[in-house]
Amino acid sequence: MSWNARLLLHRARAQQTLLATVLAVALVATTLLGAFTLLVVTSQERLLGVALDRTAPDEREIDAVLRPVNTANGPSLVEHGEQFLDEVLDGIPATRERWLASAMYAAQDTSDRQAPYVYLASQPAVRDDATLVGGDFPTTGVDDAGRIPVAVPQVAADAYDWAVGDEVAVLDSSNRTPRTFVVTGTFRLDDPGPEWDRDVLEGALHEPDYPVLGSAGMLTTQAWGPFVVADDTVFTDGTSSLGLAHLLAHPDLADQDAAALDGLRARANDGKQRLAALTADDFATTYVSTALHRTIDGAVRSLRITQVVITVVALLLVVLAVTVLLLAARLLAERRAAEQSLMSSRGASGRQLLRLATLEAFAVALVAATLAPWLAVGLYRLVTRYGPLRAGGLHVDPGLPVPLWVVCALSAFGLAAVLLAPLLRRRTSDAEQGLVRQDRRGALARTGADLALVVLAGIALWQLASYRTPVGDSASVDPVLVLAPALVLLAGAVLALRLLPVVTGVGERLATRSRSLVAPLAAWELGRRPARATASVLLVTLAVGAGTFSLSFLTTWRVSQHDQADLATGADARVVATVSPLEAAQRIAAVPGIETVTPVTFQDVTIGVPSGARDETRGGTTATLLAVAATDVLRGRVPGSWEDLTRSLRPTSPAGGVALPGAPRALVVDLGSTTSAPVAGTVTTSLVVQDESGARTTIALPTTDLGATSTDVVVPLPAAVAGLRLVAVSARVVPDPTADAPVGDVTVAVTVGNPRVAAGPAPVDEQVLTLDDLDDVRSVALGSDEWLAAGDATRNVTDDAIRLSGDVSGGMFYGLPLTFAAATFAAPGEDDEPLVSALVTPDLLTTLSADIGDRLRVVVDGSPLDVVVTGTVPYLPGVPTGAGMLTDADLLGRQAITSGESLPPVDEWWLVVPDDRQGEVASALEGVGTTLTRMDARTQATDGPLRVGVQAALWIVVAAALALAVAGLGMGATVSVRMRRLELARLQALGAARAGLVRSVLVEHAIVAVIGLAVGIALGALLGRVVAPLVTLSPTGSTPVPGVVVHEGWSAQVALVGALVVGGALVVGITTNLLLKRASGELLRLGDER
Amino acid sequence: MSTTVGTRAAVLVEGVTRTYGSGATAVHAVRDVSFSIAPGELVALVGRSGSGKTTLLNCIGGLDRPDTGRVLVDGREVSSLDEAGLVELRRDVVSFVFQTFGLVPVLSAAENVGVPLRLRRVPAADREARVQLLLDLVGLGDHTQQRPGEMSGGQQQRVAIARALANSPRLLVADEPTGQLDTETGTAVMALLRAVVEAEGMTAIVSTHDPLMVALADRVLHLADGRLVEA
Repeated sequence: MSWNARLLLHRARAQQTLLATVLAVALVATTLLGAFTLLVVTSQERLLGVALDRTAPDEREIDAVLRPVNTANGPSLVEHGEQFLDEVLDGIPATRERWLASAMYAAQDTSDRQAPYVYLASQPAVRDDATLVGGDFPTTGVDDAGRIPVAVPQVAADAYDWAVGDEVAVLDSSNRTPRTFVVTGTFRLDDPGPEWDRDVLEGALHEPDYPVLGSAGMLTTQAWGPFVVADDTVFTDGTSSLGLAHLLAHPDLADQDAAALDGLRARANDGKQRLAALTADDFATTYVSTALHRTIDGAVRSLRITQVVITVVALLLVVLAVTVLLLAARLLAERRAAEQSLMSSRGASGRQLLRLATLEAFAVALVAATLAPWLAVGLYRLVTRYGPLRAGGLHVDPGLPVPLWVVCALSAFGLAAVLLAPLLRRRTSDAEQGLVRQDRRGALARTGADLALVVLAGIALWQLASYRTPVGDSASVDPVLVLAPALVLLAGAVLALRLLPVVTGVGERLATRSRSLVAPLAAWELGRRPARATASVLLVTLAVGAGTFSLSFLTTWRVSQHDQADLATGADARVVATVSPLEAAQRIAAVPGIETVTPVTFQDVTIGVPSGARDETRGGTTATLLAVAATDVLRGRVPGSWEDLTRSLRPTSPAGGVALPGAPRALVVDLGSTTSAPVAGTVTTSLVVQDESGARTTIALPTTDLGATSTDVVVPLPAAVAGLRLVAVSARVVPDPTADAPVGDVTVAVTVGNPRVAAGPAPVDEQVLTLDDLDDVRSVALGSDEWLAAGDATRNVTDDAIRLSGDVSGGMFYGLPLTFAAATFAAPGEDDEPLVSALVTPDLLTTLSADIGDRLRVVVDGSPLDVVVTGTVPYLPGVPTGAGMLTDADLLGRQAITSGESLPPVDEWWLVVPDDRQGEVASALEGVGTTLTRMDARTQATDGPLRVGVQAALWIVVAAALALAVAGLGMGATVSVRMRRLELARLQALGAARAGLVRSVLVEHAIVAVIGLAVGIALGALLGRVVAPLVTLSPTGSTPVPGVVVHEGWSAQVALVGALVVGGALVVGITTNLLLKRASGELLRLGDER
Repeated sequence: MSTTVGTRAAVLVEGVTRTYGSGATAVHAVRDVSFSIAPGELVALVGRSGSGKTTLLNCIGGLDRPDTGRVLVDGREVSSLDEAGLVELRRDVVSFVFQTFGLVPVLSAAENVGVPLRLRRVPAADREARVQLLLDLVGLGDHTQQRPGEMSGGQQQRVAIARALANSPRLLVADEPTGQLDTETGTAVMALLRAVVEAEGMTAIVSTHDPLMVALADRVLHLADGRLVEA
């Protein structure tokens, strides 16, 4: 064994505690960096697939839509479509589906003037979404008689009296080929989901105005379907023509690596061209409907951001670790100063000493590099074992990937090299003891280096501030973004060192006037030996800066995700009800925990500038309409508050209404109509009731002939609800276009009389009820004062009847139907009532070339409603991006009623629910419909696979910063006390108490800590402000809406600083106390011997 | 052996033994030493290197504890004092002058001399006046702002003596105060010591090899292998 090795072994034995400390620091830092590497590698290799697999099915679905022009090419077209999917998937497992439908068949032998259309389909969802009413679904494509067995919609069977076993003769409208279907069953669709968009009639089962093929839209007929066949072989074997094919693939992405996903993204992206090429000879219209490539792009961007953040904080950790290792190196150097002086005096050269230290550092690095990967795996498994990290899918076996070994080796050897730093300095600690003034040339050089670092950091900071997005189209990351935070932190820490003399200068001046020794001694020590405090100032600054930045970013990121979730949800809870509005409002209001319920119209509508006639608009565009009856439900951060923004939208007076007593199950009225001259036609009268939530329901009374009278007309209500009010009565007079028009003006009058309510027990269904079926029938007094007529009608209201009348020119009977209405509120725009106000998004105004104050026409379910734009909002609750309009549901409803249009539908119910009760409310509403809560959305926004990695990295850095800072302060205190322990022993000999000296050392570190904390917090806040908005994106990788607002997370920062102060004080106090305990007599006796 | 001078001894050492280590490697630094020093007496402690002088002085000054025996300084039994008592003893009763001066390198001469006064929380104005007086006394009134590194060995030791006198101790313990000084400087320091002891009316025990110091002492104690021997 060489003397080098022998010396190292002996020294290791003698200084095992010291060496163990150094090794522990190197090992901890290397392990942390290894764990970060695993986070990056795992997210790259595994989480992308996991995250994508958790996206909504429609976000990763590939839908090849094929419409053959020549329906005979169906089999070949389907084959090529399947081939297209095979090529796009390229071996990636996927669930495949076919929605195939025939061309339209004209049903023969019906009484319809125009032969109704029916179509065959092999909808895979029908067996789940449909309920058989009679018979069964077919089991064979073609029966022995050559007929095609089908299950038909019950509504079609009812319309044409088709029963199980009946034959339906049809003619293929594409090629005039006769076929025969045989009915095997009838069904009704219960609740067709969005996937039914692929159906020819989108799950409606019936379309009364379907264009007749070849008529250029001039003729329409009824269309019915789907007529469900046994399977899709009917279309692929040529039995039936093919009219429409949806070939779907839902790829299973969970186990796909980044390369496979990238390939899939590229193939999905150019799917349209690929499909067109494959079906070029099939004479068909084709397109590919998929968001898969955008979904993958978004996920990749999120992944890149996650990796950027992890790399940024890992670099901060590296800087911190190097600082701690520098302290460890100083500790080693201090312990070995005497030994090295001795060896130098015995002829050992600087090179030999360096070789010895290198061997020792190599040994430390080797141990760290060997153990760290295993420890990193353990740490990774530990931190991903619980909570959101586990839920986010991070708890997977990361293995021992090559990058982990490489990073651990580089880190370990890099950090170990830091241990050699003190040997490369010419000045020894002994020389430093006697140093009074700093070397001017050295100081100048250091100033130059510091200045260069600060300038470099400034440029990096400027670059960061100029960024709009950190990830370009190529998803590559600019190194400036990754390096800048570490540079800024380092430069800030260097500047903090410059503050030390300023602070200690003040301290020294105060010391002159002080009576005691404790604080002055600390001020003198720092002020006159500033070099000794350098590492500690750096350490605290870096640790606090890294920790503060991490916490600030973490808070900013979480708040932004919550903001985005709040805005995307739009309310505390949203319910899409599967029951009638009346029933839904009643059941929702009964659930404990709900503070406000409001009906909402929330759908895509056509909005344009009014242009002349009723339904004409100019420059119409599709936008989202949000009409709410109560604006306190709105959520999502906006400048000011939704309450203030929407103040101008509210009605100036309540809707009023005639209270309907009890909880009626049915309404009973007498109906009558008169004309001043004989006119043929029908009258459809409607009553509008409003419940306590503000939701309105139109109760349509049976249509009667013009001039006829009906008494005791009974109309069941969808649900028995208390608190209803009758707010409007309307009548629609439809003249018979085939009859002769009257001459001159005609007065038309419609009377709704003797209104009554019945409490029950009539069941609410479609059966015809009579007055005899009802109990507890009570009359309703109409209260004549409240009613106002709308439009050109006049009204005559008594306590027991409403008579609506109007004079109509006889010629008008050739025109449109006539609508009369009376309501307990004025029509918007009349009788001093303002028009319906609306707030719109700026892009909608731009698209329509409109301005504030302009009128816009909104077409809701075919009903044109006019509104006036009173302001803009950056976005709508529930609609973070895209064009939209926000208005008041009450006023919009009044507008619809008084202009004779259909009421805007209640699409959803928006609720105010306290955060902690949203889960409970969602569970209670399961029977009412589908409920989306804001808190659920928040959880999903922050706990997804690609999102928890960021949080894990940030928390690890915070914990590591704290641990390394406390360990570093302990080592700093050890170095500080050991280097002047003789001096401290002599002070004890002069009568200084050990406790006083410990306090003095604590004061020294407190001054260091105050500087480090102040600068560190400032740096962390600066980095948070500059970097956090850049790397905070939406869950899909796009720019967040609403925009990012930086949050410092003060409570967490106070906790971090508190932990650092307490931990640092404890470790410094205990270390100093232990070191001083062993001083004094023995030390004085031995003098300078160490 | 020594004899007691005066009515009450300023220092009383009885059967003090101090051993470092144990077993075969044990070092018997001081063995069964007894003597007393009268108030105002200047005693020289002489002996070869390793004879136990420093250990004995540390035991007297409360920096070390004897294994057996007892030490009384100004009537207080040093060997039984707790930590707070020892701090009080060193702060108010005993002062040390070290061979290597023991000045804090980063402090000026005035600041070094002011350290004991700060330990007694003397007001700043009184402290500054006392520091100036003491530095004038040791002849360094014009060097108050110089730091140890900027002064000669003799000047440093004079600062150390001024510091030792700052709290007007009753006992001055000096461990080879001229050990690192040339003869001329050492002589001057010794003369200074003798003068200030007389001027301040304090008791002093000084370990030394310096014959001049021995000559200046009221009494001489000889240590050899940790035992007190007759001269």
